[in-house]
Amino acid sequence: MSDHSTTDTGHAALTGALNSSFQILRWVMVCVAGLYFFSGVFNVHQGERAYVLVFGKINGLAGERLLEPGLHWTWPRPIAEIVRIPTERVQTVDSGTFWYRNENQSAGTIRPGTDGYTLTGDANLIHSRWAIRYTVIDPEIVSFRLANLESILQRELDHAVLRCTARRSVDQALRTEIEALRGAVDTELRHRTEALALGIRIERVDVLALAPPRQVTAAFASVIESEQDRSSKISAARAAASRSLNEAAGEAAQLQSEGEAYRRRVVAEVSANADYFTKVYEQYQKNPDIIAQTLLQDTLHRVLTGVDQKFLIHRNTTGQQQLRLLINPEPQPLVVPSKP
Amino acid sequence: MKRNTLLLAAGGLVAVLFILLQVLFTVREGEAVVVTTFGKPVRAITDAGLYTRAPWPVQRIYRFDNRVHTLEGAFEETLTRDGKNILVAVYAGWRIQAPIQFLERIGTIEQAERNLDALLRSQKNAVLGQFPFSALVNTNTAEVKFEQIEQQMLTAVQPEAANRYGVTVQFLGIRKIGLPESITEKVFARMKAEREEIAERYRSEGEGEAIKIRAAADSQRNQLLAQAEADAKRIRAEGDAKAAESYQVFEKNPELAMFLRKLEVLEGTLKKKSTVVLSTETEPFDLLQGDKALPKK
Repeated sequence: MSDHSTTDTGHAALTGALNSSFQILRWVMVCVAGLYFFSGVFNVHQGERAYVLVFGKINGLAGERLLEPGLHWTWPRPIAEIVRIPTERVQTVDSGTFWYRNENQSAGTIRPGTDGYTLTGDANLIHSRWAIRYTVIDPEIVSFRLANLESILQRELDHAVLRCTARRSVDQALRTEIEALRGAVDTELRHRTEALALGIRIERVDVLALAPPRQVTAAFASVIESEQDRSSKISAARAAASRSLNEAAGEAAQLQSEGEAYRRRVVAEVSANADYFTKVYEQYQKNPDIIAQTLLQDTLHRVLTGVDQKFLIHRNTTGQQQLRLLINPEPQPLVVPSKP
Repeated sequence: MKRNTLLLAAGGLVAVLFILLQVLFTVREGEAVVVTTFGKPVRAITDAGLYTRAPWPVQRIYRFDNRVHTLEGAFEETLTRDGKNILVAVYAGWRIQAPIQFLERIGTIEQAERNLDALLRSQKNAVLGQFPFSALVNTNTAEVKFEQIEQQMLTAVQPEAANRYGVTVQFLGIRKIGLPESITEKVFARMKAEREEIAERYRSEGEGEAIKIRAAADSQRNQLLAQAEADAKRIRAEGDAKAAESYQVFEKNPELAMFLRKLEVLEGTLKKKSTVVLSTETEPFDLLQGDKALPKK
């Protein structure tokens, strides 16, 4: 009897434990189901868009497939998958394919595969580094049609650089037509990316660096130096020419001004003399001798008043006059008598 | 009873999931799938979505990345038509066109790239051998045949790639052109010589240009001054002519006019610090002669 009682008690305890476990398991399953359901909530951030793939296929109708920034829900994995794509942000791809890598290069050659370069139209070598800035305009193409957009863009950039450089001389590429070269690469790349339908828009192609091979850097520097020399010589000549012409213009103006002054002076003087003559002539007609004598005496008075030395010579009794003048007599040397 | 129902439901769910996993599969966007039955390809799927299949080991699926891949060939030497030895690297963009053929002939992306590389190399050498070096590098843009060369390579590669490997080569381009290492030394020597020549030309141009500018300025200066002198002379002549008009008044009494002129000259000539020697017969110093100077009655 006591054995029965012990067995029932144990069975009841086991049943109670199992019931509790099932209760817990049920709640755990409900929680797991809830968590699974809510794990489908996701956020699309600013500057990106997202696609939801349901069973591998893009979810939604055409035009509504791309999810805008905000909070969204979809079925969790493995039913659905979220694919995020940066769209508004301008992205950059650099290319150093044609740049040198060996910093301590001192050899007289370039080893293929070690240092990059391009050939110019006149069969010279140059180094260059480039970058593309682009924006994704068709995320579907970028995400699901291209395995590696950056890899394609880098090669297309190199291709455009190679083609454009091969049409220009080394001087055009390195010095005189750098912007034209950049523009040509830009245009070439735009045409090519549009033709290949890469789903991007090229914002700009930038040339980051251009340089001659280091083996001939000194020779290129010499050209720049001589160009500067030429410019400075021409500038100096232009400055001298400008100065000379300005001085000549001044001298010309002075000559004309002097001529003008002479004309005014002569006309004024003659006019004044004529007026003076007219007035004197009226009086002179009345009494010629007195007027003439008076004018003469007045003039002599004014003249001789201002004269420093005046000599009057009186005729002697024989009627002869003699005057000896020593003009600028040389000074006699001073003789100092010697002491006895 | 209630417990049993719950257990059965859970077990049934697990069983259904297991069966579904065995008979359903997805094809992702940008993916190609080949289904084989006992090893034989029977179906190729390139459209994304959910599909059914017979469970393993009856049917098996092979997945491939069906997006466009880029492949770059080796940067290696080739000969142009005019015998120039150059290094050229070509790249191509390709994707799987016929998944079953791709599975049967190639099997993996890596193997496909190895085979395409060999094909590219062969066609690159064949096409470049038809063009001179100047068709690749030339300042005369009309002679550069890049597009033609690349189009010929693409046209030659595409059918072979499709027929042999089940892939389509979508685009192709030359990425690098170079010269053998031994040639670069000679190129540098030539570049130096060219630079020296250009530098010397710039120097002489500077001197020549400066001389031209100075000579032109001198000529312009002389012309300007000559013109100014001519103008000044004309102006002076105008003054003299204008003054001559006033001379007519002197015709009333030329002697008086000359007398007045002499007085003016005398006054203007004898300034301070002058020495004058006069005879006592000169008026008014004739007064010094006494009676002789007295006015006659």
